[in-house]
This record gives sequence, structure tokens and C-alpha cells, in this order.
Amino acid sequence: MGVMSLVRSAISASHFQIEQTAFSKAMMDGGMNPLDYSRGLVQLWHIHFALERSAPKRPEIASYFTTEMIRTTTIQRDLHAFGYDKNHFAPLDETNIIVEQIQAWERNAPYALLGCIYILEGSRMGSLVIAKPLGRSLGLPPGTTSGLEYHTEGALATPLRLRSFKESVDNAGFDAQIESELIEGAVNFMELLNNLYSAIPVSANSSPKATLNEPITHPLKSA
Amino acid sequence: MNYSLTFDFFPAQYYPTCPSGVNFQNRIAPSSTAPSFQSGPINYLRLVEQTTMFMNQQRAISETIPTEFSKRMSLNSKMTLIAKEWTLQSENQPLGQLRMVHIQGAKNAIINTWIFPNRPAKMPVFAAELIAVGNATKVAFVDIQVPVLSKVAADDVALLTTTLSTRFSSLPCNETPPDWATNASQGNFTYARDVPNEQLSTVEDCYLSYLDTYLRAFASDEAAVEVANSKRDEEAIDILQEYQIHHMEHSPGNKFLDKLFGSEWTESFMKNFLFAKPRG
Repeated sequence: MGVMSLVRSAISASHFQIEQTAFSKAMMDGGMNPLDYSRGLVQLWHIHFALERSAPKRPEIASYFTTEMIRTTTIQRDLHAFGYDKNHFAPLDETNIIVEQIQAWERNAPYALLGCIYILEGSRMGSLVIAKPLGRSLGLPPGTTSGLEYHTEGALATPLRLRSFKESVDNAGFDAQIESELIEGAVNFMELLNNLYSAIPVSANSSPKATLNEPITHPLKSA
Repeated sequence: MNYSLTFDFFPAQYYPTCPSGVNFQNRIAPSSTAPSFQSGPINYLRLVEQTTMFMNQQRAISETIPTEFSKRMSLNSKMTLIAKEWTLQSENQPLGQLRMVHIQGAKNAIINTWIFPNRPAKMPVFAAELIAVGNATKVAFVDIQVPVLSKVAADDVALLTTTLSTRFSSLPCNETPPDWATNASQGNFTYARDVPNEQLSTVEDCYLSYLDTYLRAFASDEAAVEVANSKRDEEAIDILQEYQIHHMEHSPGNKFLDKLFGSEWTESFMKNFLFAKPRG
């Protein structure tokens, strides 16, 4: 069995768990609003930013981190579509922990970053499912991608891109120690993401719908 | 003989009852969208229309199928079967067939839809069977299955379907499916029993979401380019055929069709149309 299959087995339970969080469910069942979604996007911005800084610095894994995996600019565009940017919400403690962990892996366990890449790229498979209901939930017109690019950008190429990534890692000939580092990285990263998703606030009765180009007012802006 | 559709036709082991001690009514969440509530008996015409629309959007080729299979009145003249088939393609290369069977009566409805890929080691199978009796969907089973798929590709299916199955976990009794339906599953199927009319829109969304996701993840030009350019693998097709035969022999629909349309016609329909090897 290839190392990526071992990773998949190791994280399947926590993958299921993260789908049960209020934040994940709100994206799927119509309970998400632009404010809560943008707050979540900002957390993801910090995580992607950390990975985008760390992965290229380690030659052992830099070649696996391709330009399609750079997501911070995409997140910024989505935030702007709702009238926000990355500075409008502070990173949560759970986000800061993830950022610090990525930086630590960069220094001490670079192959763990491959586990992070797999989780984040794998989540883009879920984006194929999420985009439509999330767009409805956010009040976006059918077919609109502005505000949803984190889920729609390069979506149709996702299965091939992910498969290519997995095959290249499987065929790299990593020894058992490296494989262990990679698997532990994926498991720990998934666990930390679970903690974050559980902590991202979701309004109990989120109903406000934003309209593109009509940014909603939020406390930080109006202050 | 009474040919009206009741679950007396279905052996109990095919659709086991929900586990005892669980109040499924408590698990029914309100639908997120306005339900497409039907005041009379349920029909699945919306799913037939949407599947046809998806096929048009995919630029799939509508196939002409033998007239003895394409439309059939039941022996008691109370149910009509309509069968359709499309060939999915990418870069003008066939990827496999979507086969849809829709049976409609005054009080009962069934839709059974499959996508059988002709490169089953590289593409999964789409499977959906919905059965309505009166005002309830008695059974809904929807999944993306991996009877022949490589481990790496099966992982892609798991990543997709984990999100899908979570989305529809509010449907009642979706955790105790029969073994025959799930032994080629990654475990993220949706299985529902006795879904009230008020949740019909969720059942419809479930079918359409799995199908839409399958088509975008595996049958789009971008996703299917490798499949389209690969050679037919007869060994893999034979494994797929074993899976098809397994379903043919165990599906409750088989016995149901026997009763409605006669065993000889049903056997021919199953072997020569619904569970025939994919072409191309």
C-alpha cells in the first residue's frame, strides 16, 4: 500500500469529524452567511500563507508545492467580493497554533508539510460538492464564482492534480521514517483543523445574505 | 393477482428494518430549501428531467435502445417503464454509459440510474435506486462505488463522498443498508428509508448532488482526459461485469420487475440492457 493510502486511512475518521462541525455543515445546509464565511476564510488565509512561505523553503518538498496550490490571492479576492479583506478579522488562537506548527515543521520535519498539502488539496475535492450549496447559502446568483473562487478555481482539474500529487509522492521512494513523518503531519494537521473548524463561530440563525458589490457592514468596519 | 406495488414483493433481507431503539423521527432535520412537496403520490419526474438535462450539458450521446426495452407497460397495465441510455464522452472518446430506468404508476414510482464506465479501473460507478410508494420514498440508495478502481483513485471518491454523505445525513435510516449494496462502496453512501413527502426535495437533492459531483469530478473533459486516452482493459471490464451480475442477482428490483413484466422479459432487460457491459 502506498504512503498516500496510509495517510488516507489515518485521517478518514477526522475527515468525517470535520464534516460534522457547525462551520462545515453551515456551508452545506444553507446556514452560512457572508460574515461568518469571511471570518472562516481569513483563518484559511493565515494557514495557506504559512504553508506558501514554508513549503518552498525546504528543498526536500518544494517541488511538490506547485503554483496551483497558492491560494492566498484567491482568498483575498473572495473576501473582497464580500467587502472584507484578510485584516478585518483576527486569527483565532486555533489558527495561530496551526501557523506555528507549520513553521515548526518547516524547521524540523519538512515531510510533515506534504501531509498538510495533501489535506488542503484533498479538501478541494470536497469543494466540488460544496460550491453550489454554499453559493446558494451566501445568496449568490447561480453560476457566480466571485466570492466562491476558493472552491471553484481550478475545480475541474482538481481530481487529476490531486491524483498526480499522490502518485508522485507514492513513487518518490521515501523510507519508513519519512513516510512516518508525512503521515503524522497529515494526522496532526487534520486534528488542528478540526479544532479550528470547531472554534469558528457560526451565527445560530444566520440569515443575512450579501449581494455582490453591496458589502455588508460589520463591527470592525463601522467602528 | 394483485400487481400493485407493495413491499411484499421485496424480501425483508434486502431492506432490513432500521435498528431498534433509534427514534429516526428525531433525526429528521428540516430541509434547507422549500420542499418540492407533492400533494399526491410521489413521482421522480424531476429527476428524469434533471438527469436528461445533465446529459445534454455533458454533450452525452443519447443512444437508441431496442424498443422492447425502451418502453414497457406492466402486465396489469398499471405501471409504465421507460429506459434511457446515454454515452458519456470526452474528447470524442466514449467513457461509458448512463442507464436510467423510470417506472411510474398511479401510486408508485421507481428510478434506477447507473453509470458504468468503460475504463472501470480509472473511473467509479454511479448507482442510485429510489422507490416511492404512495406519499413516501420507501427506499433511497445513492452512492459512487469503486468495484474495480485503483486504491489511489478510490481515495478520490472517498474525499468527495464524505462531504456528500454528511450533507444528507439528516435523511432517516441511512446507516443500515444491505450488504449487497455496499460491498463496493467507500462507505459514504446515502441510504434512507421511509422518507416522508416533506423531505422529497432532500431526496431529490441527494440524487442530483451525487450525480452532478460524479460528472464534474470524473466525466468532465479535464478530469477524464487520461481515461479517454487509455485503452480498454478487458480484465477490468470482467471484474465490473461480476459486480453487475452481483447486483442483477441481488437487487430487489429484479424480483419486482419479474412480477410486473414477466421473468423472461426481465432477465433479458437486465442482461442485455441495464447490466450489460459498458461499450466503447
